[in-house]
Amino acid sequence: MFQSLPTAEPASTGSTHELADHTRVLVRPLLHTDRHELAVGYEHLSAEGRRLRFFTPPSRLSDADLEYLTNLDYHDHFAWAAFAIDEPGQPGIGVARYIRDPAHRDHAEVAVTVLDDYQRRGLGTLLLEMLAGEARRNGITTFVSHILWDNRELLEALSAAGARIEPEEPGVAWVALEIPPAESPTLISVLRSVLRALGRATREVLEPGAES
Amino acid sequence: MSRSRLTPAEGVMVMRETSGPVMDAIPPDTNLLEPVIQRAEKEPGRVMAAYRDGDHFVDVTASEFYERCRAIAKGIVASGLEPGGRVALMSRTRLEWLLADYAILATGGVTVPIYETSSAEQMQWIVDDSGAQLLIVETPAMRELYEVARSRAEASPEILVINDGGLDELARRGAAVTDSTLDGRIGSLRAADIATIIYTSGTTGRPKGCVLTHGNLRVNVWQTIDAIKSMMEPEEVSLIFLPLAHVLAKIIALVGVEWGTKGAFVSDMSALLEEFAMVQPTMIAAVPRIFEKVYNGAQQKAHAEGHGAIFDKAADVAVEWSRHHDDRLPHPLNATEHALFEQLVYKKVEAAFGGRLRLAFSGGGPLGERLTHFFNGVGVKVFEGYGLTETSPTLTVNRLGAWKPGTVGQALKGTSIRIAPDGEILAKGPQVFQGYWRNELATSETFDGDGWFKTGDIGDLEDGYLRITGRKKELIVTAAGKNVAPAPLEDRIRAHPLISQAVVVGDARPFIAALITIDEEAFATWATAGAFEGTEVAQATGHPALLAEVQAAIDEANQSVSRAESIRKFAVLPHDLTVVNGELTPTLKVRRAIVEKAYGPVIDDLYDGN
Repeated sequence: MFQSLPTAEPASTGSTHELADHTRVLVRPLLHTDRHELAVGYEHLSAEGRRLRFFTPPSRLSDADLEYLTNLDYHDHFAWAAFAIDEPGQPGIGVARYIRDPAHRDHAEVAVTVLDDYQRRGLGTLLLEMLAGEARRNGITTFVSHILWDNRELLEALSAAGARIEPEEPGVAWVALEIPPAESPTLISVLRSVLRALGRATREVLEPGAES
Repeated sequence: MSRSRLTPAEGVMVMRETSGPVMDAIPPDTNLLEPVIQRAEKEPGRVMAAYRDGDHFVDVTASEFYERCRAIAKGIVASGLEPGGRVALMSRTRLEWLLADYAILATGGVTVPIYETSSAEQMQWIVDDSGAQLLIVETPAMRELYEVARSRAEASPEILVINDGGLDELARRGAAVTDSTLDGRIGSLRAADIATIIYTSGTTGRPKGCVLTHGNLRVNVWQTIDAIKSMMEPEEVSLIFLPLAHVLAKIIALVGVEWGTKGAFVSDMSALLEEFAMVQPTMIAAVPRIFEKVYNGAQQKAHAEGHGAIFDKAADVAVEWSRHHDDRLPHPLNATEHALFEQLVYKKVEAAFGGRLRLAFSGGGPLGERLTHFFNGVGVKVFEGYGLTETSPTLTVNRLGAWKPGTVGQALKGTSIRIAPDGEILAKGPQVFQGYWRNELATSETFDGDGWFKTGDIGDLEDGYLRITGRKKELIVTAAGKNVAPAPLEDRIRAHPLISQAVVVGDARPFIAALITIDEEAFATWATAGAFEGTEVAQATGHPALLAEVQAAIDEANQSVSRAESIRKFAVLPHDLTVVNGELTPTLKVRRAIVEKAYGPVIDDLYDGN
């Protein structure tokens, strides 16, 4: 399909943000040229981070995986990538992506991941907020995700934010979260308040761990 | 005592909680030695145990059992164990296991059971973490297994080998210890004293020690007897063959001691059918695998003898008959058919259990509803129950008059079951443990804010019957009732450079198996070096050299677990898991259930003939 040609280009160029601890990050659409960055990021991810992201994680991301994860059409498959711009080499430190469900075109599966060392600074929340905005523009109303029950605080936060959480196979919960319309308090402001109530102002949302 | 009261504001929760009858608080001096001592005093000649010696079983009376137990206990005291001290016990199920356990308890000590199939790594961890001062093992091979691991061990406990006269050695050593010394130890036992620490595997990380007190276990014996006493006769004979290191076998053994049952011990399940015939038990506790084996064995035998069609029809009639009796609806036609097959087929199935079996309890994993009906239709009522090591274990059980196949029955006396909003089964009761051994974090995570124990299982309540529908823990439960954490096994397999992905399977299956994918890049290099350049992974999945590499990775992973948890078979898949083939979610998550479905035939092949 023409959408999957690697020549597709994102509309947005990105923006710079400051995290809770004043780390400056550039958030821009993930590009086909980010393959290497993604492979390196996976290597830097802890075993538990990999498990929470992929459940049964591969030992490394294969060429086919990398191609799949970077060959985006920015409509049915979109991803934001975050870079620590004040650090040497400006490493990639987080990714948030959605992939539209072809059977239910207003649904998309979501995965947000942040490298272990950069967690709990609000990056995941920021990425999900931006992802929700992009999804909404592209006609997606519901984020769906499979989350390990071990990811307890995250599930508690999502539950408090109104997500539907149901058991899937052993160990796994199925989560559905409706994306609020643009004019209403954003999904993330809801999540933020919940996370704050849980005693942590910042935390990656949907999935700690990473892909970067 | 732990019956939970609902306030009107929680009215909506009424459907989501159930409690068994109220139970009085247990006396503070309750302990596990009491029933043994009372039996030895009041009925010294009563047969309370039996062990196999060649072609027959040898009876052991209550007084013989208690005297032997005291002799060993004195030896443990002489070895320097103080009350609260831990003794690790690694042995197959046999009379000596129970003797050693009671001897340890009599000294005020704590029994730390180790599965007889445990790996050196597991054994070392359990001995170290529990701080065991004494290690009683069954065989010299078990001693060697420990000594392999011992070089890195912090503690170096003394090791006694049962088969080399280790218990006799203890009895000799204890000769100088007076009766009053031992009676003092026994007299000091309290319900709150720790009786055992049983290690269970979590989703990730090391096994955790479940701390169970004398009170936890004794009260669970009472609760279990309360539920089943209307079905029990004064003279019961039980065949005990599950590992006593498993709390299900242990509680059934303790129930037998309390009731005055003759417990016949079987160490080796391979001769189980023979031993059923020899002992003719009236009650057993088993895991689903045992019932499956009896069913499959009878079916295969019938087919081999050319009576397959009759057997299959008889099985259908038994199931239908049971379903109607379950509904209490008479069904004359089916009853006639049922009577017809009684002599032809059902008697033979009953005979496989020895012919006298009335009470069969199933636990450790889900028993198929159809299988439950089949056995009921045949005349062997199977009572499925539910519990965890952390709950001593019994929380619910099916029983006469309250029997609902497909569910795990109603809550025991003194036990409350609640379904949390997310579906998790919560439990309260005097049999629920206090926590994990020296692991406050894990302990705090396992209780909710209101003190409910979080089982990690998902379920529903139907008119007070609990139905298990899922699991929050990423664990595989085999048909043999073994809980296996797949993630640590998969991690270790993937450490092999040729392997890109490992998916461990085995839920409700007889053993653990694995699906393996090969890293194509690494494979290309390896294939070139191995002189089969240009071969694709898909063409090499059955190549002996590749299989040998994968086997090496599997063997390495298996070192971390017991034989019961180990990967027995594997299949190499022709390609990586992909989204296109529906094996991964769009964001590349590996959902075990989906992979198992996608590779159903491959997995069936792995289990074929088992």
